[in-house]
Amino acid sequence: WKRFKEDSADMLRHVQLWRTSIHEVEGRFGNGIRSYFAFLRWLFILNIYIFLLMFVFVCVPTVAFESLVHSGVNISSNSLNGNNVSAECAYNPYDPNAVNSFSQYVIWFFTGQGFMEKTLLFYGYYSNSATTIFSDGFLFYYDIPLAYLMVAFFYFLLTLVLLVRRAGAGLKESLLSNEDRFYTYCNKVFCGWDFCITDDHSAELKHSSLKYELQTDLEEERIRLRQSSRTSKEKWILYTKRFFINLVVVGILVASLVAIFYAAQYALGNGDTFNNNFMLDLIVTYLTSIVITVANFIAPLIFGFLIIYEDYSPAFTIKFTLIRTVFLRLASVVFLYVVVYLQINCKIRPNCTFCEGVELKTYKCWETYLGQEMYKLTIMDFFIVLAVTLFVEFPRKLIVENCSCGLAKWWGQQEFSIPENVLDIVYAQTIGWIGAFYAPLLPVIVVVKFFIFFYLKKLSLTYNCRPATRPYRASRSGTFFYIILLVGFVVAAFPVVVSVAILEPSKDCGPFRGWTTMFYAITASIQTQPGWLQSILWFVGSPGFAIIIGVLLCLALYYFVALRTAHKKMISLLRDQLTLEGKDKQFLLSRVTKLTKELQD
Amino acid sequence: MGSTNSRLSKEQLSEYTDLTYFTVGEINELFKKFESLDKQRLRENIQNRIPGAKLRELPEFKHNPFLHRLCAVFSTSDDDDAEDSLNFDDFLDMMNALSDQAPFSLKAKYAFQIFDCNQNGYVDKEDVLEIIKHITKKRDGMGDDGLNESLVQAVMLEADLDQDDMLGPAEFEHVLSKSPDFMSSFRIRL
Repeated sequence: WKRFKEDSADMLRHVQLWRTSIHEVEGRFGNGIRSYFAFLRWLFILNIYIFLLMFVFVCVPTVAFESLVHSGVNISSNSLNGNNVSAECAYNPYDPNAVNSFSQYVIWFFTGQGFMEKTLLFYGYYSNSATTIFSDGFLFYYDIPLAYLMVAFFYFLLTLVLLVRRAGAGLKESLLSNEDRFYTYCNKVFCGWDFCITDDHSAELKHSSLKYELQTDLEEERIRLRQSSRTSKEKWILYTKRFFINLVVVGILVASLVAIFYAAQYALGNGDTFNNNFMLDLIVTYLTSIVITVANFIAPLIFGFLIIYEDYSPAFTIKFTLIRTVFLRLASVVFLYVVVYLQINCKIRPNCTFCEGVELKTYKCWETYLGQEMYKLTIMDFFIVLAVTLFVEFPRKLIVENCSCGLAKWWGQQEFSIPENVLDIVYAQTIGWIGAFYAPLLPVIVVVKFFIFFYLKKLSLTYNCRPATRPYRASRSGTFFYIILLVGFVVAAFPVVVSVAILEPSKDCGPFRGWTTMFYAITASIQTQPGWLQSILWFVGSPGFAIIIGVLLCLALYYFVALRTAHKKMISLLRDQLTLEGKDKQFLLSRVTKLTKELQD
Repeated sequence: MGSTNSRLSKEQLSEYTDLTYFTVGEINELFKKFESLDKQRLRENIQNRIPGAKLRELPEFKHNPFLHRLCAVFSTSDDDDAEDSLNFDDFLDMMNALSDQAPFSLKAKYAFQIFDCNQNGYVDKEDVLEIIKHITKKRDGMGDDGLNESLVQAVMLEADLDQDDMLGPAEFEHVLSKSPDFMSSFRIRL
């Protein structure tokens, strides 16, 4: 039975997607870069799940019901609330009868406006109807707004569960390996070579990966020694340097956010005026995306330059740069969200033309507008990464190889910078999560984007980059990526949750039109359920229940914290015992050698 | 599984199955592998020896950096000219020690002999350096003398309990018992 389990685990590992590519990368470039590609693969699969959820439960029914109406099936769709909107406030983004130039269509494709707004891609297309189909006495009832909300809830939950599991497992592993640093060198030197290797390629990979691991260990040891041997004076100088550099970093962050604010304001003010200049139109609509991308591009370069002066260990350098850049990127996305909301919500601004209470006359469907912004950000991000890889890295390699001038030597060959690349994909994923709610087909675009990224990055790695000069430990970084992703998840989930619970949906578009909040879809459907189910669900939603759950969770938390302290004490006790045992052995061995010497004489 | 074309006699086979952890089928397979290296010589006399270097033709040993040490340790040849030649008994011995079923103590004992490259009865700093060169497949080990020195130092720090700059068999076995990868890497699967 055990053999069967081993074999099946082995086989599962064989059929994993991209297994050979990742194995190659590991051998040539070490564990750190391998963890990046494994991370990318994990996200790719997650996005496929999200896409399938949205597609099967929301898009397919919408399309199916529409087409079924025209066929002979007995089907009736009723709008879930009978609110009617006056003609001047009606949502009509695209008039199929009007004649538009081809360049207009191209602009619309890239900005998600015009004809794109009336497709499945954006929130505004979905109807707020519930459909019933009668067929031979079999009744099928499908409530689209409820489905939309439940699917969104479900994919957030799924992501959270998978992410926490992964991050937790990695955390456990890193904690364990941290504690057990007793015999790492001996283990690697004496037991590192696997006698089972028969393949040329694997042998090469094993040799180089062993070398890398040993180098990493020694490097970390060296740095730790250096850090502990700093004099008092050196420490003071270092701390003041770090303080000033942190001030500079905060300054850069604030400057980027201000730039984004002004760009968003300008784009909202002028985004709807289409003059005939193709390029100008495109740039104005893409203005926020451009500003965000430029800020995200320049700031990490500056951070990377500054952190050299702060003299941290390699592992911490990477983490800290990552934290700073993460903060900038996620803050810019959230800031954009907030700015758009403030602009569109008329209750806050002093004088704006009302249209039945909330929206500006020109933006009748703010959810679709947000979806468009996310769509534009995704596309822009994709093109920028593509452009940088093709037009900066390839020429750099050509220049460095063929020309031996001073510039080439100073610039040096490209090194694969893990923090930046990880951040790229975390950023893309955060946009994907927010966007998936307002543009249900965005996960497909993200899936395609990640697929192309994988091969693009791998290509760039093999042809352009040289192995890292400062190797660093990968497993901890691998866990760290998932924790960063968790932060991104919270940043993505928060605005969506707020908009579902509090914000008022647009009056004339989307599956939640006419209700006070989007959450009302759930309450409306609860009211159609039988009495006993209703009272149960009301109780579950009430504060009393929340308090009970809260108390139980606190008790469980306290229990686990107590367990953890006990275990920690146990570990230090055992470790002391181990050193004592070593001393005993030492003593006995010396006695044995002494005795044998005596016997020999 | 069949032993129809085996050139080993029944008593030899039963002797081998008693002394090793292998079954009859596995022993026949091993014999076929061994025979494939030099059929001619083995046809003359089944106990003839095959030079260790020839073992590199087998896929299991093609990439093993410790092959010459394995042959040196398991060879029972008295002849000075052919110090690392193995006959089938030696070969079987070696595969037995490297098999899945071999216990820890057996493997540790042989591992000590294998890693004692200069054959002075201890695994000392020279030996550790040799091992590093073998596993990284580079003549200069980690590429830098200072790094080599620090690595050897680190290993000695961890393993050398009586601090005489050498690892005796007891210390070495102690280190191996604490290494989680030893049993899974020090084996050859048929």
